[in-house]
Amino acid sequence: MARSVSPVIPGFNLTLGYTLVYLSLIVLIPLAGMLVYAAQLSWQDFYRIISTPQVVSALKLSFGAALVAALVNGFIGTLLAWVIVRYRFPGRKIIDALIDLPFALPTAVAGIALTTLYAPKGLLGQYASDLGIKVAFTPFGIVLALTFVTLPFVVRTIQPVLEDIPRELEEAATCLGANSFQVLRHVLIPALLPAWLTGFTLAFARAVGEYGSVIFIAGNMPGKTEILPFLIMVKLDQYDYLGATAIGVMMLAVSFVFLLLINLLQRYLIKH
Amino acid sequence: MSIEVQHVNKAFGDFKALNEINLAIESGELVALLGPSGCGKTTLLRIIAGLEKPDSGHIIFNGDDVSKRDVRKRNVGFVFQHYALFRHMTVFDNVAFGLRMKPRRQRPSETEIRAKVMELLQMVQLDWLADRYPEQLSGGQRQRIALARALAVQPEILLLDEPFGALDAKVRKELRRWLANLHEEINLTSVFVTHDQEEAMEVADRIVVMNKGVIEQIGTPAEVYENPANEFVYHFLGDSNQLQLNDQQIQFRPHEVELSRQAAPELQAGIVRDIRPLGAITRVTLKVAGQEQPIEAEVVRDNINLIGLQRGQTLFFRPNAS
Amino acid sequence: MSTLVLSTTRQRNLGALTLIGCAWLVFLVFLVLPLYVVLSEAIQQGYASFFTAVLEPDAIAALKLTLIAVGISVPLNVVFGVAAAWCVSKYEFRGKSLLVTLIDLPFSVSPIIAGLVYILLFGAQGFFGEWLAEHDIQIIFAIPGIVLATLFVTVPFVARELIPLMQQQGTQEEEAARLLGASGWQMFWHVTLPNIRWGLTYGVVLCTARALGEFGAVSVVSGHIRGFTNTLPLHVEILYNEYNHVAAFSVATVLLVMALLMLILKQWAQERLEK
Repeated sequence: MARSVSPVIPGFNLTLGYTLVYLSLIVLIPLAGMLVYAAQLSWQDFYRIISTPQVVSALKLSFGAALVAALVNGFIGTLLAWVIVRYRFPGRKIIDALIDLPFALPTAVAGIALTTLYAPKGLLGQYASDLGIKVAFTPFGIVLALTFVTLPFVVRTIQPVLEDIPRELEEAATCLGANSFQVLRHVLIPALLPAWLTGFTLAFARAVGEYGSVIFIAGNMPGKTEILPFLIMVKLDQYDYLGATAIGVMMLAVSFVFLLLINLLQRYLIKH
Repeated sequence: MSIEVQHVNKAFGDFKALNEINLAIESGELVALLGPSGCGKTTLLRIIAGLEKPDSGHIIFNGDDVSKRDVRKRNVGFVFQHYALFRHMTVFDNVAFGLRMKPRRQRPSETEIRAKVMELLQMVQLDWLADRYPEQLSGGQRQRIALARALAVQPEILLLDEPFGALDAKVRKELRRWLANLHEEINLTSVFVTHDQEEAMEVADRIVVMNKGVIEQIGTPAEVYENPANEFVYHFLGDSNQLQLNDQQIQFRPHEVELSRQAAPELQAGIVRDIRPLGAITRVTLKVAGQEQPIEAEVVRDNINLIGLQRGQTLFFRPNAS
Repeated sequence: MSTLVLSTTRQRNLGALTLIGCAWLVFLVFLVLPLYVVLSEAIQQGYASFFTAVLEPDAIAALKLTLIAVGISVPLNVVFGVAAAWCVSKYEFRGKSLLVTLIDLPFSVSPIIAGLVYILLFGAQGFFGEWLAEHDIQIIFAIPGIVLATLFVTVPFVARELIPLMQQQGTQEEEAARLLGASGWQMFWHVTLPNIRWGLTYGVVLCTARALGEFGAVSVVSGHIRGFTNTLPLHVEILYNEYNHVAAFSVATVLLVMALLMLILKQWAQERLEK
């Protein structure tokens, strides 16, 4: 079955075998186990669990907030990547290095820090409440936390692409009489879009499943600021394994459809 | 050590890379595998080295069938097109690698290794670069280090994949001669792959011309140039002119032309388009009425017909293919 | 601010300055302020209470458990990452792209689900629940469960860094080593491993950072038994929910320092990698 690039390089059977066994034991079999477990439920039962108002509102909140956070990152991330790649200014290196902080910082730490910062009496929260904006314990706070933890994705996916776009390309376009808007539309956006979408997708997928950074700032008010992972947690605390499994399977299915759609869009864009 | 290739076939998926290859190389020969890219020459070289397994056929070294022998045991030196030097090792460690990898019983002591490596580095005239890393070297230097590394394990066969391909024109010329001399000095059987006919003609004892997975002709440089086996070999080995004469199409090489300023019945007329002095010879480009393709004539620079010749003048010529 | 920009005209300078200003603002509000909050909350009542919180036995036990989870999951994922990158980058085979997708799968699965799947396998009501109870083996609400959950979420990190790196490096150096008489292991130790060392370091750092901080997956399987199945992030949560903010932020500071250390290591590995 296998055709190696070069028959003198040994270890194909060993490494492939090890990879498959390890991946199956840690990831694939447990995930399949969840699907098998869910099969105990009839379609009616399954539908009954996932159509309660609590689950529906959590579903909307989880996917909605993730989508907004990914979009915000699509904007902020592009800005940061652009500034880091194109300009030389004081503090550039430190900004570049600290962009990855949300990846390195434990999500629970991020969660309590953001909650304290944006609580009504917090450092920033007090100004927000002066303006009549509530951040902590609202969907706004959830979006904020998700934006924080997924900040690096868009920056890190478009940064290398941006570095590879030769300045000459823009200069050539300018010499041909294009204004900045036209350069943006016809040169930069087409070149960046596939990577941007990849970053967007990664951020979205991570945001949908995120738990640690969100539960503190969300406040978890039933029907208002409960996210899906939190509901699974609640069901597990009540030893309602079937309920937790049903929500988990639904979450995976919806994520899968979303990712598939984005993937199709990406293919469409690459073709045209 | 002699090399024999018998009935070798190799396909990659639907693509037939080598088709019934038979080839015998004598001990001490320097042979070029010449052909356009994709003709299978590199695949053949890799099969001889043991880097690729043929679908069928045999490779025989000095009468021993080595087809099943592991690459480590074939004892061939191989120089990759892009050298494949170990980037994290110094030049010294690169050359010493083969000696250090030997089983403990056969492994020379560090002192012996040091002496052997320095000897090789002196041979390629780069002993002063022993502590550098590959990325600090020029292309020509890397090439020679790759050669020293291949020779360290004292192979009896040396295989080189496009050894001059990645070098600029001047270094390439120097290294070619140097390689030919080296081959003379240390009695090796060498096979190299190239797509450059001039290179093959200048360096090799014999040339194997390949195209689309088959061998078109095997012979000395003179044989393949003078007596090409077919159209492909004829065109691949040098420039050629095509002339429509009455109903007949004639082919001849640019140097196989006789020029004259005077018209004569057996001569063709052409208008001078360009005159290029190229050192020892001068190339005249002629436009012949009734055909698109111009005729190129190469004559010695002091050819009498060139005196005072100007563009736009009419010149008479005749192919004098021997 | 004396800003050096590459653009020349005044108008473009203004645009550049605005963009750089925005980037600084995002950086300060979004990345620096949270850090500041963690530190200032931790030491608001002085260093004594900080050290009390950090050196308390439950905190030390949580630190130990976190290090155990890291110490087991990182080496296992390194071996997996190298093996996976080896077969994916050095060979062609059918189903390769499917394999790569499967390796990345844990990235798009919620950590809560990662915990859930192990509960369904090994929990009291799970597939193996009864069998495990009969043999008196505890996985869920015990250390093995925490390690498994950490393994699940960190599976892709090393492989993901190594696959593109090894694909780009190709196989010629390995072939050269074989031709010069190296055995498979010699080739791996002397040629492949030195070539991928910085990419490997980079992957290990990312994997370690995630293993140190994993919260959701571990939270599901841990059972939150203080001093026994609490990792550092879970300990932070408990303290915070008990309104013991100073202690929560003190322990959070320890995690923050570890995270910054990982960032420095990452930067260092990256610079070596790009050289």
